[in-house]
Amino acid sequence: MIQEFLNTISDLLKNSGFMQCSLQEFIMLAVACILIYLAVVKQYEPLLLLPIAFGVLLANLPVAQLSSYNEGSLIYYLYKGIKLGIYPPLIFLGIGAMTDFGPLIANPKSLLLGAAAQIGIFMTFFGAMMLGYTPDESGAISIIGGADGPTAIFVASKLAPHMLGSIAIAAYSYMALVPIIQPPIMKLLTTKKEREVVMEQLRPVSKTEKVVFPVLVTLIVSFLLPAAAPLVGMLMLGNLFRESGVVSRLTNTAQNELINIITIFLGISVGATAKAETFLNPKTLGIIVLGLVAFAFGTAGGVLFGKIMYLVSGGKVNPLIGSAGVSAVPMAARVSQKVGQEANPSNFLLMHAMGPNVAGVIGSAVAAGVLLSVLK
Amino acid sequence: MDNLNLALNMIFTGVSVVFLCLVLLVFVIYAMPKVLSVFYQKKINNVAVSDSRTVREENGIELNQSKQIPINQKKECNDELLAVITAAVLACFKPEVRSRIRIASFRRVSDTPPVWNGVSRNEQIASKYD
Repeated sequence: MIQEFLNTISDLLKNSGFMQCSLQEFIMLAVACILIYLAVVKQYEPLLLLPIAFGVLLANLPVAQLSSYNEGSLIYYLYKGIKLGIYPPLIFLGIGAMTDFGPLIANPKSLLLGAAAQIGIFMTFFGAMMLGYTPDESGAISIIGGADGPTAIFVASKLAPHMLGSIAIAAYSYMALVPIIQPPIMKLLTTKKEREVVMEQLRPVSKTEKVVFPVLVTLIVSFLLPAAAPLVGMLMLGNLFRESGVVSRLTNTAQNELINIITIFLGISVGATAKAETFLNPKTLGIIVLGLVAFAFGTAGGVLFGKIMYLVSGGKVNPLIGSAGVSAVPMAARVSQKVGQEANPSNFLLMHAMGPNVAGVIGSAVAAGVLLSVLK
Repeated sequence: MDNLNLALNMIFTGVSVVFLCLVLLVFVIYAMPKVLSVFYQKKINNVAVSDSRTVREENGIELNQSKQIPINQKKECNDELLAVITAAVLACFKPEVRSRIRIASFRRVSDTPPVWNGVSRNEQIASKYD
């Protein structure tokens, strides 16, 4: 009887996580705890980084088999939403419902700054290819430069699902670091005189324009680039809900309950793809370095195009708003505002920077469509 | 070599397509208010015609009250509104500053503006004349 009891206890211990935990899993658990710390204490994009971090923790629990790849687990079924490309467009629906495209409609030239900031994506693609990544992997890594989480997850899930966890973690971490990464690049590429430029007040935008805008954007972008249709279409649907003013219940749901639920599912299932064998390899280090390169090139591309617009307009455009072309809304716009105010305390660039900022959301979706069209 | 070709091809294709797409959107957005103003002009003309029809009916059998506010009454509403808003803004500032304030334009904002719109506006008002 006692022998049986001891054998049972011995079997339980042998099958427990303590005896089955490998060094790699232990390291990944530590990584998960660090990410949780960054999300909770440092508040690095906590809305997504916290569920991602906890997904990493769950996936690397020894024996539990809770990763996105373990058939039968809850997270395996939640992961279907990413695999089938469902969650990112739904997140875009919520983002569209929360976004005001007024500053963009008032100053359509901002779209060019949004386009210029996507140069970082393609330059990083070049760098990744030269470093030996496959074309699909390079495409998935380079989209980090769009500074758009749902877009990065959408592209990575289609082009390089084995790198999804690393890419998502890198993307959201760098988005949180935008206030640190961007200012030195902005100051390096602009003169004080350029940073002091005060821009004219934006014209008022009518409600009709705001209602027509999402329909036109959906039609034009989807006709040109059908691969971008899921993201751009849902973004514009959310915006149409908001601007039409006749579906306030749907707008509220898209802005709140829907996006919150999808964020939880997306975060956990993305994090749960980061198992030790996929995350702890030299390619992950490359992703982290290339992600930083992508952000830097994107910021530089936007600022340099801003300088071109400054020259062409005779000094009416502040080049700093070009850095907001990376679609980290509204963080990048706030960085433009802050750096502009350092040069000229009475300068308020926030609303001017919101134009390129929301243009970057459209631009990164278009860039994602290009990558998917060319590589798939 | 193939990788290099693909990478260069991607740079040129990607940048070109993104710019093409967004430049097209720029033109469409610039054209949008012009096209919409043509429709609005037609609508105003139709309203003027229906108003005159309403007057004829009024002189006939029944009164049909036009639901359109005449343009001169709209202007009066705007002037009154402007006066109230100006008075409210001036009341927030110190007396020595009030003479330097001029309301250049005003417009109605949407009911659910983004948070940063309000923050920016408040910061602008609070710091401009501190």
